[in-house]
Amino acid sequence: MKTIVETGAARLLDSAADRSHTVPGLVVRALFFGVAAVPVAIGIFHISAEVSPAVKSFLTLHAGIGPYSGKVLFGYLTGLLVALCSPVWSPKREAVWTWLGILVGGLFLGTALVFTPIVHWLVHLVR
Amino acid sequence: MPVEFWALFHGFLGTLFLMAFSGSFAELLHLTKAGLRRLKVGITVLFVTAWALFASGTNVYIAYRAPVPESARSRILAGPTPWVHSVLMELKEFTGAFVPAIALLALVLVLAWDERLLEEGRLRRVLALVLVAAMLWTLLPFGLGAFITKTASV
Repeated sequence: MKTIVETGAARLLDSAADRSHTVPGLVVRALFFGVAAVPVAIGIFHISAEVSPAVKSFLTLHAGIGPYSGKVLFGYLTGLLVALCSPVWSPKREAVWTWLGILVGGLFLGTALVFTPIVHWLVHLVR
Repeated sequence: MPVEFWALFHGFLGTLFLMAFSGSFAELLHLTKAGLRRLKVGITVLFVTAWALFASGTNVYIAYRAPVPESARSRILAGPTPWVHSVLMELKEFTGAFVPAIALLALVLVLAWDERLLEEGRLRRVLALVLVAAMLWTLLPFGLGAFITKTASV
């Protein structure tokens, strides 16, 4: 895992520093993937907290905000991790519509994973 | 600072976000070289307000969920419509947290694609759809917030 992050981050930095291309394609793609991962990760953390009181307690980083604090923070950190790892697979072309599709898919999936009737159904399945 | 201030500030930022979206989207529809600079300013404002909205909303959320009988959450849960918290508020707090990430993407896209946006229609369309996604995932917590405030204000 460490190697994937290191390789991805190194390629990301090379791409960002490369001024021979107008578009740092890897950075843009990494961000599409990272942003798509944020809602999905938040949703997964939300369901995990509903299933396990231990996870809920772990995610409560701030007493006033409650477990929401950990769900959002770790959700964003997961997005960052996905963005750092994604350049390991070099894009063959600038497939912006595919990247947009992944982003929209992530947003809808993340929204579904925090919609209470779906959360209850998934928690019931897991338990 | 009183929670009423944060609630007002949160609403004000929401209005600013709507204005930044409208200006950026209109600029993007008929983009010119001069308009590109305005587009960058508009999306930067959208990005800053998205994060400020999230931060101020979190401040209001602390008062909303305070473990006292007078807090909005306690009153909603004790009232005839507890689903307003368990379904609507849950959806609002999480979908609102998605928006700063989408706004960051929009900002990086406009800075990275820059003048290519003038030449390539597909990049303009992708950026427009990213802005629309930011807008839709802002409107959802907006509408839910208005409904929740009608049920019990902070």
